[in-house]
Amino acid sequence: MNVSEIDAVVSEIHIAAPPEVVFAYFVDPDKMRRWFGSRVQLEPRPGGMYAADINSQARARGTYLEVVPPSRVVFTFGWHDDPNIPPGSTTVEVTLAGEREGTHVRLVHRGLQTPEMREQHGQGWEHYVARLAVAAAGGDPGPDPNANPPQGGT
Amino acid sequence: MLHALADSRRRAILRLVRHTELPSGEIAVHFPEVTAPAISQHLRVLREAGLVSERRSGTRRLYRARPEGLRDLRRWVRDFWDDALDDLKGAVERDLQAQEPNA
Repeated sequence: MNVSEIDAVVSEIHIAAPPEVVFAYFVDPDKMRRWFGSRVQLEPRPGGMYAADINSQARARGTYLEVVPPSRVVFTFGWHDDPNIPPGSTTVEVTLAGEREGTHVRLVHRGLQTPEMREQHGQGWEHYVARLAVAAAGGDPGPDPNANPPQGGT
Repeated sequence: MLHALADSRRRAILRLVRHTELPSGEIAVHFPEVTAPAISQHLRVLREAGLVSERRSGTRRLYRARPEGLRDLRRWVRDFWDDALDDLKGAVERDLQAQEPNA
């Protein structure tokens, strides 16, 4: 396990079909509908969109990043209207490897954060973007309050 | 869990109790526009989703965000993909058998 896997979720399975057959189920909307989502629209090329509605509440949205038949598909993944996993926030990497007259499927979902963790990041960036805007306009944003965090308890 | 976090006020409550344990009355003070029963309802949803813990101290109930939040999210995601890949396996193998009845 390398460092980047620490915050990742991994799911694996063996399927009794060759990788080229399994691969189609990640890029062909009719085939994806057989296992994921009832309404599916796919543009399986880098930069192409990925949309699969499981139901009216759960709507998966993303963008294909890599499409390498028959061994690899990578797409961004998120749920419409979900603060936990908003669209664009996480990445799903699927690798298909031939084994035992079938395919070993390995799915790695990276970038999972709680909304609080995301918000802390967001606040950090907003803080500095605001300061940059002041400085860029020729103003002085003043000393960075984060540079000398308050010491001691409350 | 997804539902629990869909409400911006519930996310605001979660922020309040991220590092501090607070009684519901004190949480309610931060939301003067919301009734106490509504705050209790939000806390109940958060607790049922496993996002906050509740502890009784005398007549008070104290709330705090559970650090297990990320672990729970990951567990949810792992279960989700395990189920999805099971469905994928079923679909692929059924389709293959239907195409090759003699295989």
